[in-house]
Amino acid sequence: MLERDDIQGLVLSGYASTPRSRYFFVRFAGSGAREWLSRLLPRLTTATRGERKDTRRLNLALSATGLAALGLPEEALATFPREFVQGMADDERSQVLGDCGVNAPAHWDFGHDPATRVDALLLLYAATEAELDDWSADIEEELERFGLVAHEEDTYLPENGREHFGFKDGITNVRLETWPRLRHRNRFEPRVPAGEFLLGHRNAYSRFPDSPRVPVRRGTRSFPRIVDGGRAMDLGENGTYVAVRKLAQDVGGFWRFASARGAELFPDEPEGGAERFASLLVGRTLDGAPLALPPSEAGAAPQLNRFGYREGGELGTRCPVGAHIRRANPRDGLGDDPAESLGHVRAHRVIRRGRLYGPSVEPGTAADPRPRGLMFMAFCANLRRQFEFIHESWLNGPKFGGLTHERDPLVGSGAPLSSAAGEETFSLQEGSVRRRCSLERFVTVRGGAYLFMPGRRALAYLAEP
Amino acid sequence: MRRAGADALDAWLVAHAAHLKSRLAAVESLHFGRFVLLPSGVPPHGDAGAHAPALLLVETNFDGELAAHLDELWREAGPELEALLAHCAGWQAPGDATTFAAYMRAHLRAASAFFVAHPGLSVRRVRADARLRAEVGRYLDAHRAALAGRSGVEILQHVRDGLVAGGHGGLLEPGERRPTATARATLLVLSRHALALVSTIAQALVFDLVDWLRGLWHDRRPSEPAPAALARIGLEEAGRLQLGLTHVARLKPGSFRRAALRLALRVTDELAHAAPPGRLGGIESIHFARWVLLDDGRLVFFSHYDGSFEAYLGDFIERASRALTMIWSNTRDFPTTFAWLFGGARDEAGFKRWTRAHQLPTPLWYSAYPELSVGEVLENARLRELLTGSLDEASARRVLGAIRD
Repeated sequence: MLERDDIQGLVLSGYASTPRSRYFFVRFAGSGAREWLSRLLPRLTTATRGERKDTRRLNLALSATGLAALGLPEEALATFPREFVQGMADDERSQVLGDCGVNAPAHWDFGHDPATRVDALLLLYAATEAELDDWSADIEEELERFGLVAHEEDTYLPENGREHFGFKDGITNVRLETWPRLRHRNRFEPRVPAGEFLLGHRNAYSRFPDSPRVPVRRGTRSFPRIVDGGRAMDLGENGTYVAVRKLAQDVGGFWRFASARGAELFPDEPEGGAERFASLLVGRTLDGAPLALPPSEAGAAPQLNRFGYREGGELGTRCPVGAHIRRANPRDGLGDDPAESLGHVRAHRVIRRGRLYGPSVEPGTAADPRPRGLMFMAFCANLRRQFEFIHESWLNGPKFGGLTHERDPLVGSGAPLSSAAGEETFSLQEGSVRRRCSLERFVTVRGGAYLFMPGRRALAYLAEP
Repeated sequence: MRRAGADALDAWLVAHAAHLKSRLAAVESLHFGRFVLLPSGVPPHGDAGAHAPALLLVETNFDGELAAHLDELWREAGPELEALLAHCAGWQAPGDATTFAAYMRAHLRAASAFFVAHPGLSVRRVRADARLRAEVGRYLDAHRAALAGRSGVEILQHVRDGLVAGGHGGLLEPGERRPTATARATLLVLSRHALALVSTIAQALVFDLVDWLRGLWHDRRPSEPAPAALARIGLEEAGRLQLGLTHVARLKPGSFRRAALRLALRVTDELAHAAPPGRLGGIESIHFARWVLLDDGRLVFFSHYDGSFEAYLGDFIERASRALTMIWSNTRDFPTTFAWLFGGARDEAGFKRWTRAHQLPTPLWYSAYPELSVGEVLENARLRELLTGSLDEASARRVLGAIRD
């Protein structure tokens, strides 16, 4: 059983009933951080069922610099994983994530230099814009009182469930395998053990994930469990790691590009082929129907997530091998053995809690230069094996699925490959001869951070002087 | 190779890596190579092994005969090798091709277990096949419309004619015969060693239990990688499509462990030779791999692989944990093992930490084809073999289907 009153609510729910949200990327400038945290605690939303029905929700995550600022000793920080301590903007992490060129941290809005350092991420959710404004006035006043500085980002869940390019999003998300173990309903989406997302639980290798340790302390509040024969407290239990990425989208550019390529590749399409070409990049139609299924089967809603990449036992090509959703979640499509592939993929999943920022725009309308994009957010128990692996080996892996020099057509990024001869391409494996077309980029990384979202008892520990 | 001044040698390697690599690029027989300093003892638990001397480890994976390879190395990189070996005991300066060959042979350590993903393919052949693949890709791009609706055999015939007409006929040499292996060979290896394996497992039951109890008693801390070493390795690995793992572990004391390790390495070696091309224990990303047991009880593991450390270790754990546990459970600080084969490498986080903690920086790592994966090397060879042999529709379809971008 999960201890729902200790786990922060956002880990187990996407908060669909509170579509408006404001993210505060907080820098602990003054010395009031611990007291600020202490006052925030009673308002923290946990995964307790009743609490999640509230129309106001608050969650909190801390970065390595934030934990240090709260006074966590050096030895305790050293028990956190290396990538978390380094932070997303670190050179080594950038190499792994492919954050170079226009995506390099030097160009980010936040998270890359001392002035925009992210020590904490405070997430506010409300049902309406007015409620959100009302509430954040209090929050801002509090931040100021404790001498803390915040970079704010307004985000939301779109009513029609579509991201800015116009595609239905959030169709696939991880389902936890909790006790009692339920039967797999969808063989292409095996349930994932809780320990892949929550420390203190068994993971996909049937082990307990590494969990940070802090010195034992007695207090009035309920504190983390004492472990290691009484030598330490388990700060990690019921916590999760968070990867946030602000991904700017050039919607006008994307559709101009799709129209041009679509007209070239599919001159017979009535609408000019833009939509068909864009669907091939994504791996789904605008309505979310997976290309991996034949069109006759793909329409029905229950099928949106019930598909694999094999056709008659062989690797299929209705969906291009390099399409975005195939790279981000290869399902049964890696190697020769579908069962082995599904098992492998299970150890490399993240819970996605992305929301949009910036006004939505109809495809084809006049150029609207206001910034917009996706505020991507992922939860996992091991940033290296899950979040980073997906970027490094799948999205940005030039050799993914028998390809040789391509990267994800939407979010791919990395140093140029000499075998690609200076040009990025995307290939359609149709008929007997594959078809290549040149690719342009319309998604840019504009900010990011690695954080830890502790359980409530762990936060209480951190808030205690 | 014994040294005088290990730090000086390491510094020399770091400073001259780029230059020496540019010289090695001219060595046509060299697939992969590395020059590594193995410090005295074993970091970070150097206590009892402190007597083991610092060594310069030179690994080359080469085509043809050793004599010709050493000759070519000296011809292309003589002055650099001379400067490097000046740090090593027993090297008489100035050297020449003969003294170099004699020196290297005197210090040669054969692998106890060795794997190559693409036997029978020389460096020259691998590079030519990559050019062939690129030309075929260009031809398909340019003639897509004309090829539409044709059979696989017809398409490849067009490709063949087009390559010859375009002056690339030279890439269409038939090449050497490549060895083949079957799944039956794996069973054969296991049955050949069945008795020894069973008896070792039975003994290991006891020895692993003793190690486990001893670990409890001494409250053994797991190996932690040193942050400085990790940072250096991180820089070395940055932005590469192929990586080299240099790893050293120390044998546990006692004759049982030494015997068990020898058996494990012999079985692994035979399995590696019996494996289908490009698949070591089902892992498809390893170009070359070798274990070398040094006289002082240090077990060195060298491999050259595609992708990232994280993906590589993930494959180890998912596909080859038994074999790896069978080998490395005989070395110190390895995650807790039961009955020689169980546990150990299945401890995902512990095994990754242990591997990183015993990894050595590789100041000089060389690949003759740094952007080619194992799969590509083999697929390119199949494409050439088909284009230079007789075409049949099924193979033609398969080879064309494998051209995905």
